[in-house]
Parts: sequence; structure tokens; C-alpha cells
Amino acid sequence: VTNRELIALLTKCKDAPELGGSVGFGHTEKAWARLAGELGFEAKLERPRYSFKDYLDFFTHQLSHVWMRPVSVGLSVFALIFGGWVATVNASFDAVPGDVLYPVKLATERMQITLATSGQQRARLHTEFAGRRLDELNAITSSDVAGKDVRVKAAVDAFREEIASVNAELMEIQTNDPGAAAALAVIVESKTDAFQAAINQSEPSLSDENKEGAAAALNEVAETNSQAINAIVTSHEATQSQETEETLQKNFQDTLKELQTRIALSLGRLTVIENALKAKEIDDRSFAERIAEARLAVNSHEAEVEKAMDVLAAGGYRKAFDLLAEIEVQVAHSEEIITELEIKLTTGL
Amino acid sequence: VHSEKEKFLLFRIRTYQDQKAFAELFLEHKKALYAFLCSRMPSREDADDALNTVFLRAWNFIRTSHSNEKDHFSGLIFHIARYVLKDYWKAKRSDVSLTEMQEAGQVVADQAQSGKAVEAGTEVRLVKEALSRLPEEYQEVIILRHFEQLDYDEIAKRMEKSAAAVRMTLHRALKELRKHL
Repeated sequence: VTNRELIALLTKCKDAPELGGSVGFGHTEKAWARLAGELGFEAKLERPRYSFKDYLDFFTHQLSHVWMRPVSVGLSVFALIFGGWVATVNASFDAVPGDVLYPVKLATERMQITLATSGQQRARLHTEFAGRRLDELNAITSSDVAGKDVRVKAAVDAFREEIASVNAELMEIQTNDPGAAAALAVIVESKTDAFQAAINQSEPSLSDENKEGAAAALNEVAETNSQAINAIVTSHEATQSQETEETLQKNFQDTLKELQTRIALSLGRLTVIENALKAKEIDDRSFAERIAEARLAVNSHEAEVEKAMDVLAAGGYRKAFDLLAEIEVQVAHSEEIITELEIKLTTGL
Repeated sequence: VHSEKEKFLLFRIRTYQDQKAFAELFLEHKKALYAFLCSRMPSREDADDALNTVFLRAWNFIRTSHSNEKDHFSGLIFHIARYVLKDYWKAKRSDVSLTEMQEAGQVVADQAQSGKAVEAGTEVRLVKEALSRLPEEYQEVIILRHFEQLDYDEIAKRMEKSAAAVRMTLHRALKELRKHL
């Protein structure tokens, strides 16, 4: 059977009663009468005529229910979600650990981290967030909120986590992209001073447990700073750029200044101890030996400091910072001896 | 235009339970649906019953449906018709027993269901048998095109397909039909 023959056959059969054809309008009327009877209709089988008002009614319905509704629903949902979310995020910006909106603040930060495209961006963000944790720490310690200790601990822990993340990112960038590491390290290095100042500012009002956490945080900040400096030195050795040189010079001077302050303070504390011994007429040999040891340790720094400055002037940044690190160890040792003597004097042990 | 008119009539039924609007839809679609039912059922009496059931269900569905839920009346009634046909043949099958199988009426129905012509020889019966062997979609497109003589755009609206898809379906339907003739 060809296509043409098949179509001709179908056309021929279309009016066959077996296929529902040739039943006439009478059959349609009969079918409608049966249906109308079962449905309880009164309407006759005819094409109705509608007025302009009927069509207007339909058009109005379409406009309000079919075309406008999806638009208005979409806009409402958008306004609710977006507007509500923005308001919530804004409100959460001042939240501190323990506040209802604090998780929202953390969630937006995590989102920013997730969306960051490079390790450098992530490290910058972690540095910024670490600063926020310290702002929170200061806000908590200077307020009378309930559960202060728990909140402080949460803020300090979160700060340490951020610093650890900065460290991790910094290490990775140093390996993968030393050029970018220097720029990042400059930023991190500039922030660490502020971090140390903020922790020191809050420290007096902390509980003993939180003081330990703050001390650990300070150490970690120092470690981060040291790592940042290392990154800058490495970069400077390779590029000899003006920017890294300025950063290193500034950091060296700052570190030196801090060490000199600590040395001066140590000498002052030793003088006070000697005066107290004289005033109490204590002639203890062990005291005298320890004081001499501490004084020697403090005074021996002068030559080391001069050496470090000479090395720096000659462009040996790495060696200069290594020397400063050695001095710092000695200063810390002398501070331990001085503290021990002070305790002995004040407690009579 | 046809689609907008249909939407208007469906709106009238949903909102005002407009019997006249339903009468117009009945007039418009009864012939194609009846042809479809006749081609798949053994007798015109069965097709009459099924036609009544389909429109009854369609009225009840539209009355309680939400706006835009079903704006193609043809699509709706053919959809209902498929379920009515399934129910019909399911009931027939469940009635089958050894004794009943011996009854002549049931034999006729069974033969029609399995696609065997009861009385071979006439072209109409051959066409009916061949049509009954086709998938419902193929059968529907052949009826709308060659029995109802509708154009492709109109069929596309009724079957909720594109005109190109209708052409393709019709081509395959005729190819399939030829195999059974």
C-alpha cells in the first residue's frame, strides 16, 4: 500500500459508522441529552453568544491571575529573600560570639572564603577576619554581656583559627608563587602589630584560662609575623624590590625598638631588685649570682644589636633578622631570671 | 485564536459553571473523540458509553481545577479517554473465565482487543483493526488529520506539540499503519 493509497483509504473510511462517522447531528444531540441529563444541565446544544462584558471579565481575570500573579509572586519572593537576607547580614555585622546573628556573620565570611579564587585572596580574607575576631574580643571585654568568659574564649579560639589559616595559606603561596607571597606577607606583617596590640589591650580583663589562650594567640601571631618576614626576605633576595626593602627596614627597626624597650625595662627591673635587696639588707649569694647572670645577658645584647645593624646595612637581611631572633631569645631568658628574682623577693621564698 | 477561545470557555466553566460553554466544547470535540473511541472499542454502544463518561469526568475536572491547570480541552479529553479505555479493557479482562470465553459477545470483544478482524473482507474493518493495533498517540494523530481533516497547527494545539512534531508523528503513524494492512 503506497502512502497515497493509504490516505485515500483513510479518507474513504472516515465516515464509516464503525469508526464513528455518518452518525449525524442527531447522534450528537442524543449524546448531549444523555450527558446533560446526568449532569443536571438545562442548556441546549447550541453555540452560545457572549457579551463584551463577558470577554472583559475574562481579560481582567487573565491579567490579574495569569499574567500578573507570577510577576508579583516572583517580585515578592525576590524582595523577601534578597531584602531579608541583606538586612539580616547587615544586622549580623556587629554580632559577637554568643549572639543569635553571629552564625550569619560567620556564614557570610565562609561564603567569601569559598568564593575566593586564589590562595592570596583567601589569606587576605583570613587576615581581615582575624581582625574582626579581635574587634569582637574588645567589644566583649569592654561590655557587661552575660557569659563573658565563654564568649571571650570563642573569640580567641576563632582568632587563632584564622591565624592558623593565614599561616597555612602563606606557606602554600611561598611554595607556589613567591612573588605573590611577598605582597601578601607585607599585608600580614602590617596587621600583626595591630593584632598584638589588640590582644594586649584585652589581656588584663581576661580570666586566667582565657589569658592562656591569649598568650598562645600572641605566640601564633609572632610566628605568623616571622613567617611573613621570611617570605619577604626570600622575595627581596630574588627581586631586590624597593617595596620589600622598605618593609624589611621598617620591620627590623620596629623589632629592634621593641627589643631595646624590653632590654631597658629589664635593666630597670634589675636595679629595683638590687635596691630592694639593699633596703632589706639581704646579702644572699645566690641572689647576687642570678642578678649578675641576668645583667650580663642583658648587657651582652648591645654588641649583638650593633652587629645586626651592620649586617642589615650591608644588605644581609636574613642574617640581620636571625641575629635579632637570637637576641630575642636571650632577652626572654633574662626576663625569666628577673621574674624569678621578683617572685622570690616578694614572697620571701 | 482557537486556543484563546478555548481558554475563555474553560474560564467560563471554572468561574461560572457555564453549561453553554461546555456545550460548545462538546460540539467542537465530540466527533474526533467519538472516532477515536470507536476505533478502539468493539461496538458503537461501548463507544457511546465511553464518550459520556469522558465528558462527565472532563466537566468535573474543569469545575474543580485551578486556572491554567489544563488549558487544552482536546488534550484533556483524550487523556481521560485513555484511562476510560484502560478501565474498559481491564473490566473486560477481569470478567474473562472459561465459561464466559464461550459466550459469543465476549469472543467478539476479545478478538477485537487482540487485533484480529472479526469479519475480514471489508476495508473499514481492516482499517479499524489496523488502527486498533497502533499506539494511542498514532491513532489520535491519524484521526485528527485524516478523519477530522484538521491542519497541522490545529492538531499541534490539540495534542500540545509543535507542528513539526505532529508531522513527524503522523509520518511514523502512517508507516506503522501500513504494516498492519
